[in-house]
Amino acid sequence: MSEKLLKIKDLELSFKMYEGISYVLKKINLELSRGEKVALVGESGSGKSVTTKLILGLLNQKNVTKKGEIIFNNKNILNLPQKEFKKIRGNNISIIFQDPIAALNPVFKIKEQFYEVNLNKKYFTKKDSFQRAAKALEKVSIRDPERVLESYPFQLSGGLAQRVVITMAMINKPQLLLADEPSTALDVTIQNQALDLMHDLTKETNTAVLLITHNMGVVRKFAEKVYVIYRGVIVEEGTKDQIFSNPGHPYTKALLSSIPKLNSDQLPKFDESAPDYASIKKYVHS
Amino acid sequence: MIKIKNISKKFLVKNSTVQALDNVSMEIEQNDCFAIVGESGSGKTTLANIILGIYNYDNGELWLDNNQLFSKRNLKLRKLIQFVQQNPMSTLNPKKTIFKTISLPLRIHKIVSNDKVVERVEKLLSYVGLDTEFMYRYPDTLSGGQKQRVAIARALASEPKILILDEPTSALDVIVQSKVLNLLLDIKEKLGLTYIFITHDLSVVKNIANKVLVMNKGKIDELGITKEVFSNPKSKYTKTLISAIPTVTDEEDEIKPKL
Repeated sequence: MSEKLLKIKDLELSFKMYEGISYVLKKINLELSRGEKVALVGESGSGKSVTTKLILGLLNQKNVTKKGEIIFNNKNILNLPQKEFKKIRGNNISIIFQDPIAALNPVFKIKEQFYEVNLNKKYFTKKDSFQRAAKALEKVSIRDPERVLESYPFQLSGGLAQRVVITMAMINKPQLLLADEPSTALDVTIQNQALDLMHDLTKETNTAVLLITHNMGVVRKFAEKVYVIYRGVIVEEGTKDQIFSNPGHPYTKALLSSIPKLNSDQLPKFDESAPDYASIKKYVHS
Repeated sequence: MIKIKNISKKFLVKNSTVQALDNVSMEIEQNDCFAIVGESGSGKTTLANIILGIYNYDNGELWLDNNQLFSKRNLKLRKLIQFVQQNPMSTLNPKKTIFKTISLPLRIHKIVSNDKVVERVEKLLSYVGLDTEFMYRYPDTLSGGQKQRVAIARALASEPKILILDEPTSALDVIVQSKVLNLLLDIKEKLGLTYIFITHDLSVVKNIANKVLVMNKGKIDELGITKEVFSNPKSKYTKTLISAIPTVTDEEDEIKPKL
């Protein structure tokens, strides 16, 4: 039986704020199989980043109301106590953030930051941890892993830091990798390298990836399945080919047509009278 | 219009120097939409800052029509070149209303008399497609796209001839980006402006610029008419850059240069 690795069922999220209650996610449904690469696409404020935070159990403020289920390995982890979550984070689920330099702690050397991740797998001595990290870095074609490990994050270039962060996220062979805009802060050439690296590493360990992005080009390059989210509602889901060659929902169509194309000399013209996309029914490809 | 001759710029970093610009020469003509592309650290923003007068250059010459420009320049020259920055969230003063933000350059450059300021701000807002009710709002009540429109209106206030746009849309969502870019092109047409457009999004360049300068490590890698550079890139670096663009259709992939 092909078990789903991650199943999000009717997930709702709202923040209580001074002005009233703000509904951020409205009954989200999402599924990932083992080793599958899924993209969640949407604009800023659509609720894509909070979805990853919920999966990691990072939204526990008093003003947060959550409903629904997040089933990971047949277990609902939505309201798991933090103690349990600590076992999952970094081991079974890990994350790559948008800006690699900001994601690393600026006052610790890279080796010290690897040490923390390695503790999860019982590499207790600094020497063991160093060796394990060096080996992993060597694999992602970093030529001098020792120098990188002895550096502080600001001494690394953006591309190198991103490779370090990806290695760190993958070193414990997680079952699920959340990638929150992993390539937005990078130049196009380095962006491609980062995506290729993620692709290779996850293939090796059969890790599923949930890619959060607003860049449709990145989605096309990386993902197998796509969910389009708009203001807390999933408006379309389908395979990569279905979404790109035959988009069904008006929002997806607008999203794709508004991207400047390489083979045209003029910007796409825009219909200013946009409908309320969120009220239009979800489009499911058969 | 703008002539740059053999400009170089070095920065001192601790004990070493970084050659940010190395012998850069180019000409920008009136009504150009001149794109400068390159990876981060290639010197494109340094070049823009030199044209703006934020940095001085080490050697070479910078001419605007018949005036040689240095970093110290008088108001008359300063008003001709204006700037729109990357992140609209951090370039607007959060404590000032939109009216105050836009009217400041009007007062500094004495564009209109005091009793006509309100009228002029309304006109500027209408250029960028914003209602007059935005005048007395604060930046934090605006969306990203609206803030960038305000930043454009502010840049237009001093009636410049040249606008330097430093990644004006990279912080915006694609749909908003498309709207803002269309707006910029309309304004350019209407007011007869010249644009210097700094970006690393090559698909955007292909769609709006007539000339493109590719920079690599402070040097000019390729300079030419946009269509020609894209259809027949000469240098290896430009080829790599173009073929790395993330695309959304098969037709786009077909015209990418083969490496």
